[in-house]
Amino acid sequence: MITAAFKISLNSIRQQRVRSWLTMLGIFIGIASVTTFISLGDAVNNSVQEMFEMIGGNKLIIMPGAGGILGAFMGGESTLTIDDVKMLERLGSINSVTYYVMGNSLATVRNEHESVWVMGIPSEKGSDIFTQMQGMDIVRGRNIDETEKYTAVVGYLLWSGNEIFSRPVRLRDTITVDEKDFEVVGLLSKVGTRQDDTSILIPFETASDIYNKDGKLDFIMAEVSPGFEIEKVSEIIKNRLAREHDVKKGEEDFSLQTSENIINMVGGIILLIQLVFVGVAMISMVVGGIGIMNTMYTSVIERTKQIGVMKAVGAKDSQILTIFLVESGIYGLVGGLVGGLMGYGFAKLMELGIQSEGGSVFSLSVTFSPGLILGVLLFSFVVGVVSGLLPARQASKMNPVDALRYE
Amino acid sequence: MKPLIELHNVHKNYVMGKSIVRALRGLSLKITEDEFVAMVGASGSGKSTAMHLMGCLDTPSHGKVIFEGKDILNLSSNELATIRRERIGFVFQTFNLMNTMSALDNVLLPTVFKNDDVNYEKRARDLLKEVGLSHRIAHKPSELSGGERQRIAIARSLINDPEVVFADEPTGNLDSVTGRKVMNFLKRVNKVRKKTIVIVTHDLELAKEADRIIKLKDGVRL
Ligand SMILES: Nc1ncnc2c1ncn2[C@@H]1O[C@H](COP(=O)(O)OP(=O)(O)OP(=O)(O)O)[C@@H](O)[C@H]1O
Ligand SMILES: [Mg+2]
Repeated sequence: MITAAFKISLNSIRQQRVRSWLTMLGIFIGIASVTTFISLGDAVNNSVQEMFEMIGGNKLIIMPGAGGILGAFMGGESTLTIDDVKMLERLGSINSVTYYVMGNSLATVRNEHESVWVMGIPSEKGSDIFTQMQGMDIVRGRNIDETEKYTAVVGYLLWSGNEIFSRPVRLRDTITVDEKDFEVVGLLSKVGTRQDDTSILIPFETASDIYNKDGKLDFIMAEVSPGFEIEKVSEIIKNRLAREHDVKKGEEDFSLQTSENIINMVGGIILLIQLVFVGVAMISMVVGGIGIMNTMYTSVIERTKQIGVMKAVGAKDSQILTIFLVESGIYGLVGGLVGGLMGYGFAKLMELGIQSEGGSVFSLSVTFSPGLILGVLLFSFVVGVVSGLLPARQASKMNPVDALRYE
Repeated sequence: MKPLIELHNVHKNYVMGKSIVRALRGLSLKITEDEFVAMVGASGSGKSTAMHLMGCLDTPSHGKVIFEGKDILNLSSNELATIRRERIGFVFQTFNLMNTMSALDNVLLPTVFKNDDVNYEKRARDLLKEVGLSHRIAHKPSELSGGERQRIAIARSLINDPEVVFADEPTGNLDSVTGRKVMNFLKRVNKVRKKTIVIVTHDLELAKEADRIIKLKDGVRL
């Protein structure tokens, strides 16, 4: 019976090709948007997750401005100083501290100019503290030495391929930044975030001069000593910093977060954005559902005589119901399949767009998720079936004689 | 011979807004097994209405319709559907085939609604052969002549091996030669396959070939 229902339904759908495609338009759009937003959101989430997994969960991150991770992108004068770092280093609850200043510059290698991130990192106590805490590895060469001023360690994408410089940077090459020549002494392993992988590490003082930072810092990271509770330490340091900066509680000119906090916060924001967009996409699904319902009502009227014939030869009400539900379910399913693939393709396109956008912070990777596609298919199938419920009921309740008489 | 169908003082009213059409006004009759019965009467006399009631497609407003001993008013719509599927075949004046389906699929349509795993295709092919349409199996109704379509309808009415076939003006849309063939085929079904046949016809010549004629006028027997 169910295979026959499929045959009858497909027959009817094929009979009106253009109308059938138009019917599924709303579902295409709705499902395509849902798939795009969920895939993209998940990809952003993953890349943030990865970034922080490298850093570890026992880190405190202090950034200038009240906005934290968001404020950092907005610029403005920094309020963090070496004094803050010294204060942190004196605390027993803090194991080690590192920091950097950062800027974006044109770097020149063998007459080729490209935009890169430049990080000035502390070297007087050994620059390894910085690379270790950032989850970086030096795969070739060595780190910056404490006595040096014009040496550099370069990120993965600068030396591994020709994405940034057409001829990869090698050890002992000269990189010119702001008219100063740096000797490349080390090559970094792949970190996975675009900002880190396109960075050049140089000594702190040199970078501070180049960017006129006047001893101010863009970022401080502190590792909590074993045995201390990160949330408590975080609270104590927050109060200390506020006192030293002479600001009231709630009006801090810095933001302090635990690495875990940041993951949760970013995850929360992404989820919210996803929910808003998926909510908007739902409107499209409702419109799509109404489209299916409309087509199904038309189809039921057009096929009144067929319904009469089927009843005359012994179709039960429930069987007529099934035939029409299968038809509307097919609309939902096909709409979901096409829409889902469209959405996935769209997310992939956006990933490529972000990838080729050189200075971007994240490297996104949209993965094909069978779970998402299955969920989306199930959802669109249910929308189709539910939309067909009333028209199918009308068909099943028809009086056979009246249906047969219908012209 | 057992009575297959009995109508006792059957009324059928159609309510059309404020007016009531009294299509049947106390009709009583009996159809016995293996009979060939013709129903005749003027247009609007209630022949089709009576046939729909006998064929369990509709229920009476008053009176009793007994099919194989059961009062159809006591049967659920599912039970009526099962009776129509297993015990009854219909042939209509306007053929009423599914125009998107091939001849073969049309013949198979009643088996679609059975809940068994039997493959009826061989039987359907045999029936199409019997009505002389072996060479038209894959054709859609729109590609066939009226006589051919009616023969498909007859094959369809027999696919579930029913007890009775109702034919409402089966020759009404056919020329006399083709109509003759259809009539002969129905007679053979009656004689060879031992099916009860009830036909409605305006053609008195054809009606005379039946075992018995039932005349209707204004919703009662004449
Ligand atoms: N569904 C309906 N609604 C309203 N009136 C109906 C309906 N079906 C039949 N009638 C009326 O009932 C009367 C009997 O109709 P019926 O179709 O049984 O006649 P008939 O003898 O088959 O006529 P014909 O030879 O023209 O087919 C007619 O007056 C018809 O208009
Ligand atoms: Mg009639």
